[in-house]
Amino acid sequence: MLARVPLLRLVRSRALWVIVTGWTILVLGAAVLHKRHGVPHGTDDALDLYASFALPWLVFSVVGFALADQSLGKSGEALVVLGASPARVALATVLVTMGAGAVVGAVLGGATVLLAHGPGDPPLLVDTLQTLAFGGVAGASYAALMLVGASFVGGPWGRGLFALADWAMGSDYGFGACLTPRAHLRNLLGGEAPFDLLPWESLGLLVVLGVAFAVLAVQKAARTRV
Amino acid sequence: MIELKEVTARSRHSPKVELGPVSFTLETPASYALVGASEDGVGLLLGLLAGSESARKGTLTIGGAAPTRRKGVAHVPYVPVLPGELRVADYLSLAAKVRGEPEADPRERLAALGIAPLAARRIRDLALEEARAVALTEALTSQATYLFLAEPLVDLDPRATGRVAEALDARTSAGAFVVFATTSPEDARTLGREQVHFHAGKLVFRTTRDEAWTPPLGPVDGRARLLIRSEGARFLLAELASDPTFDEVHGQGAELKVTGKDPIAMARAVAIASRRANAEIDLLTFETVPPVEPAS
Repeated sequence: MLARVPLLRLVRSRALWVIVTGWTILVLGAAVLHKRHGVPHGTDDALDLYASFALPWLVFSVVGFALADQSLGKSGEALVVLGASPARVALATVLVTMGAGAVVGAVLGGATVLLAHGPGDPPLLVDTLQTLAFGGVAGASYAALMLVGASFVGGPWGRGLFALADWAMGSDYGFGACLTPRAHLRNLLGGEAPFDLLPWESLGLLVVLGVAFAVLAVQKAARTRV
Repeated sequence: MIELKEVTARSRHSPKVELGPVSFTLETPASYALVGASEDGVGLLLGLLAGSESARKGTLTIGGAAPTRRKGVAHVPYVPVLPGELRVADYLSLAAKVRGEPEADPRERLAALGIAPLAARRIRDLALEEARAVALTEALTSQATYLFLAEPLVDLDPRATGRVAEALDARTSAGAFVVFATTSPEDARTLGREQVHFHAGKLVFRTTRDEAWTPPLGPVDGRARLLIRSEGARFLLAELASDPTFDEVHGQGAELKVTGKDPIAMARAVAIASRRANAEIDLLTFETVPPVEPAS
């Protein structure tokens, strides 16, 4: 019931569908081109485009549309004034947004591997399913991270600042990178590991970060006076 | 029961608007009008009652508890907050579910204010006055015990005035407290069983509909005050500021407040200024100037 408003914001937004379609065409187009021209490590290049640019920007847009470009607390005001608990409204919004982030991350990641898959890559089915799962977890984690930013400030600023922090810290390989979805997703997709973590450790931390960010976002939004 | 004891507050949205200290009690379920302009603090008081604003000092209780957003409370601010993604009928169904009330036919609920044709419209496509009518319908046809409404008759189809009055009577007969803020003494008389008048953040007097009190049209305490609402308020302000008919001219947004000694001359001067400034006047009403010294 409380999830209906953010869900409809996502489903009924033509602008969001245009953005999703645009990024999908770009990433999948790159995957197809790499495969057609037999580029060495073509899958890695296509996944790099997906993980470094497409997924964060897509989730950035998803969060913005789910909140109608407001802060997390303010986005649920229409239900809170009717007497719904601010925490429950925020939780419903967070779950919907993380779910949408997961779907976007999983589908685009899986499709990228499917189209770019080359002879030197792991078996197609395993590779696709793994990327689907990793992309899903990373998409949800990214959404939770940006929701923390959006719980402080509405518009693009709150979530943008946290996306910028993810880029600045996650591009490194030190301890700070362990706090970002970017570094863990890179590790899971075969890139350099942050803080020498094993892939399964990165997967676990990605889940933990997603849950922790979600809890923080809900707590902050529940205290916001609307 | 609604009880305020020495409450002071400052608006979150308009820090210049202050209230209090104010103390009064609304003991029985009825329709109460908070009469005054926004800078007199009535909108702020409505926000305090609905839990969207916080008191700086004093205590405020609604049914013995501190005011918060809760299921038994319906708050309709001047610009209502509605989920634009939903259709009107879906919103009313969702609102009933959130409030934990049995779901009634949305078209029947909307018919209470004569706006059933809006049922299939998406909220984001509604004009402000339509959105206000939808929010008002939701509140009036809910089972909330406390209804806090801002200007319930403004921008409403004039034919709906009687329906609003009927709906308010039905709600108060069922044991609800209806508190509404208005700048219009006429609206206060039409809908309010009791009127609580505010000036500059202070409660100045209370009166009941049964006392057949009518607001003075002539100067009281030597002066009359005229409230003007116009989209061209700033052009009117320029015209009126140089007119010696007026002692004081204040403007805020689309509202002007002018004071003077001769109400007839004031009305004539406003009519002339309106023509000169080519500014259409949406509301022109003499406000009640406190006949007694302000009391807390």
